[in-house]
Amino acid sequence: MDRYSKIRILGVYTVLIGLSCFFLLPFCWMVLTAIKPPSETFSQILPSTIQLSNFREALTQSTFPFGRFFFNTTFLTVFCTTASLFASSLAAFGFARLRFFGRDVIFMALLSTMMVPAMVMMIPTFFLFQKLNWIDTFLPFMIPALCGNPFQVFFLRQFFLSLPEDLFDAARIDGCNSFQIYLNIALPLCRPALATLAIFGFLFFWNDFIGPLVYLHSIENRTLALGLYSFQGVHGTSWHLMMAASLVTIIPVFIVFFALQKYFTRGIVLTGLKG
Amino acid sequence: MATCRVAGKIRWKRNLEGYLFILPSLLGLLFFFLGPVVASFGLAFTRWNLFTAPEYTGLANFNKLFHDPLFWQSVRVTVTYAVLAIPLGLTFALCLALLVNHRLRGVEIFRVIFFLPNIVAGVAMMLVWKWMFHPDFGAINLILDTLYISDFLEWVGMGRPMWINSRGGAIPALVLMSLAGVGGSMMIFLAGLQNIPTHLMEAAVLDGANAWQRFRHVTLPLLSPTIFFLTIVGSIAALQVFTEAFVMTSGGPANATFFYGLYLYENAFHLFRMGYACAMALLLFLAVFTLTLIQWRLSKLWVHY
Amino acid sequence: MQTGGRTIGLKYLCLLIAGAILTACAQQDENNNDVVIRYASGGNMDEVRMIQDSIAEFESSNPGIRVKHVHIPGSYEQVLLTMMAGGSGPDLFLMTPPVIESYVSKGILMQIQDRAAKSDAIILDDFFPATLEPYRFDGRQFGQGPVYGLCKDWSPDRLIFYNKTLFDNAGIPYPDGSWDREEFVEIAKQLTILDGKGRTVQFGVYNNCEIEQWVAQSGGHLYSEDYTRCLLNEPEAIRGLQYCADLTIKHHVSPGAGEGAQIATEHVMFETGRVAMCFYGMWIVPILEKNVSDFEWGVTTPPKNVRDVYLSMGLVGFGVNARSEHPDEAWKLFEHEAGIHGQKVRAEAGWNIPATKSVAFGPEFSQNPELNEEVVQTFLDALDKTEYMEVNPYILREEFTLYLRPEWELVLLGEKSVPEAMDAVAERVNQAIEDNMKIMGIE
Repeated sequence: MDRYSKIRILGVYTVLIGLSCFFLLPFCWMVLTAIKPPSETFSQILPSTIQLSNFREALTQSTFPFGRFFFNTTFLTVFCTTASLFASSLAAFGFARLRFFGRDVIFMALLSTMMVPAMVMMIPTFFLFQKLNWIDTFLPFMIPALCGNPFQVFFLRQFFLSLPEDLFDAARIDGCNSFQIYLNIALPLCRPALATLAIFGFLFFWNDFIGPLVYLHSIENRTLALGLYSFQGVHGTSWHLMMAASLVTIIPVFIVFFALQKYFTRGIVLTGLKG
Repeated sequence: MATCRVAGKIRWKRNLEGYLFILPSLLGLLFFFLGPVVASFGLAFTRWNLFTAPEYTGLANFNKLFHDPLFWQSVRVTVTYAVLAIPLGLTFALCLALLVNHRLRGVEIFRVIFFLPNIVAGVAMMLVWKWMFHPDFGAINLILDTLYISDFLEWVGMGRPMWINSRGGAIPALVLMSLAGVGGSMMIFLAGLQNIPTHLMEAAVLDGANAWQRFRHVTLPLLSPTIFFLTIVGSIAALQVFTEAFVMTSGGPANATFFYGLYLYENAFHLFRMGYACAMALLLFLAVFTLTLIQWRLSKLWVHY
Repeated sequence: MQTGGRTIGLKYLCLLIAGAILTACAQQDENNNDVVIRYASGGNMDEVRMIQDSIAEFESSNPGIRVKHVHIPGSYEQVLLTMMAGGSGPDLFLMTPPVIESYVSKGILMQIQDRAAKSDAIILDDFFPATLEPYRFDGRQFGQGPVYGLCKDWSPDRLIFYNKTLFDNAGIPYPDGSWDREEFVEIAKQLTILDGKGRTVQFGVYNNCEIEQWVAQSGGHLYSEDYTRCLLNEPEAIRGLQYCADLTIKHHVSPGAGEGAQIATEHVMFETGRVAMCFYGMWIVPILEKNVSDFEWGVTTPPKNVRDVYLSMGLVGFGVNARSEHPDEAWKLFEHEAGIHGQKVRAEAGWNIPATKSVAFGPEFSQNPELNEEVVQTFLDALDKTEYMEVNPYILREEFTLYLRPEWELVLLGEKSVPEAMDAVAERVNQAIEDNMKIMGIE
């Protein structure tokens, strides 16, 4: 039994390391490019000298205030992720565990919003925000975030549906109302799901490019993703600066990812229920 | 009777409660979505060049689409890609999730590594991939060379893969690239795997089930809501692929990667045929909606909650 | 239990309030009485810096007008169109001649002929004709009618840059532009090196030159005089196209369709010494100077043929929004950017050739000691043979490319012959021209 487990563990590690090489390749190129001088970007793989000044140069460009971008992006991302998770989990609980008139139809309608190509919606949506005078503010991001997001609603609904019915029945018998059940039973139980969605949400808002491009015009209001794009142009692309800046902007995502890892606890602890 | 009246009151209260829960989502749906969607679908029946007033043309756009060889090419390309990418992607994601679900030391690091391509996604990433697919000097073929796989392919008559330089290899190249992006699906599977109650697994072990049987009879059924979710979301995403084709191949070579999304973009923003593009959007929507509906109905057969 | 819900609700409320305050802070523009106009452009950091400096200069000499620069990285046309369609288009923006037809028909481009005639900062005669005529449009045809925009800077976009070190290695004297097409192929062959496994490690030339120039130099045309027919399947055009294709499929001196695009950006092939010759315009010079440190390079003209003509494909210029709320202020900014002053400032940077003769041959550019004299002279000498590419008012370039590119890629893959491919292209293009003319109401 012991030797079998050891072989198995070794096997798992081998496969993991092998696959990691595949996944790490692009990232390695990014890191290498960020530390090399620009003339070596494509001519050689390993740097002859390590040019860490790329990082400073990329982030202290006078035309693009990365500090401001960082602040804007952080605010937008944190707000939108939290707000949308809250709204989506409420809706997901409603669709999964409550019964009301038109429930499935409305759910399908919500789902179908994912099926319309974003491109054609861009102009009418821009027109809408233009009429509301929300252009060049954060509102086109914040207000829709307060309304949740069909991806998250769908995902959490699946989760809530997979929780045992008896849990909720027991709670109801104990006299809890729906909101209390939602808050104290359903939410805590789907921590892994919430953590996953938090990571995705954070990633989406942090890297969102088209939204800020279309709705945020003044430089002071812009986000990091736009700042990254500005290293490219007709008169050349500064790959070394772009990669350096990209690496720095990824750091917060890493932090969030690791911070949320602890919510991926194994299994659910079901106390008070017989097996 | 008293019970009927009470029942009615309960139902009313239940409805109210339900609507309160879904209120934010519902409002978002009505305000931010309904208007633009109705406008977009309405425009499908017009000719609009974005500035002068739209001109009603009835079904002319649809007629033109059905006779448009580029339209059919885009459908072919997109469907081929979806049929390849979705099952492969899901399987790969599940395998990865099972791998990182072990309680081994340092497994968090591997989770990050597999999720890395999703974090650094963007133009930079795609350009690296372009280089990796170079038939002579790119990393992918170099790996295949060292593993003697390309010699095998030549022996079998398929020749060294030319990837995005060739018509046959372009879609497989994009599928391969999409596999590098399964980190997200892996995370979702992981969340699903974590959610499987330990006592069920323990019971199965006690009953004498081996690893494969445990997988087939405990894990898979309990994962079925997640698989269902990922299949639907995956189909919706695969049918709307655009950025990869735009940045990596521009639809080539010779329209081998001429995706539906690409043709839509071309019509909307390069050719000023907004009505035509909206007609394409409407058709895509109908197709995806029908597909989802079918999957939904079928789900009653295999999804266990 | 109750408190739990309440604290979450409270946190949610705080977030909302914080958000509202911050968004209010983000829009503090509206406080003073200045006229605010918006100026849209693309470009990377250096280009944006130049624009910002220019704006600062303009604002200090024009108190009461404030300019907001709207930087659009990435998909410039898409976002510009979205803004215009949504009703909040910028007052001044960068554009190229082909879009004039669409913009004018949609009423969003201001005609500047009259204002320019009365302006001191702009002298229309000073502009090179090849840069001015494409900006004329009479509602039907390009090249006649009032002027709708002015060129920012230009260049013959496909002259040949060569790697002197690689020429030295092969023992070939530097080209002086007097070569013909046969000599060109011979030299390219000598510069193409294969390794032991038959893979090409060095290509003689990277044929990134669009077919238009090869066709034009063979005496052919894309379209007929009245622009109603595509002439790519005529013998002169086919000769030019065949030569162009043969570089890849017959002589193997140029990489295939996908290869060049595979290394990030095309100039990387030249910078890393993987190709000995490549086609660029003046605008590549600052990039090469920044990125190339281990070899010397030079410029010369393409091989001679029936016609000595070089094409300019860019001709980026300034346009004013006809629906601007502040047309006079927008015009002032236009004068500042497109007029002599703006031309001089850009000339000193050396990123491209000025569109006005006085500046191009003046101290800022041709006699500027900081610029590479040999290169500048070669380009200036080529200017009188430089033309703008053909623009058809009945079919957009994008639509033309949509039909041309797949067929051309099939030719480069060796799967179709040039005449066959061009017959297919001509058929589709002619059909499209006919359909478009019907929609426009012309017969």
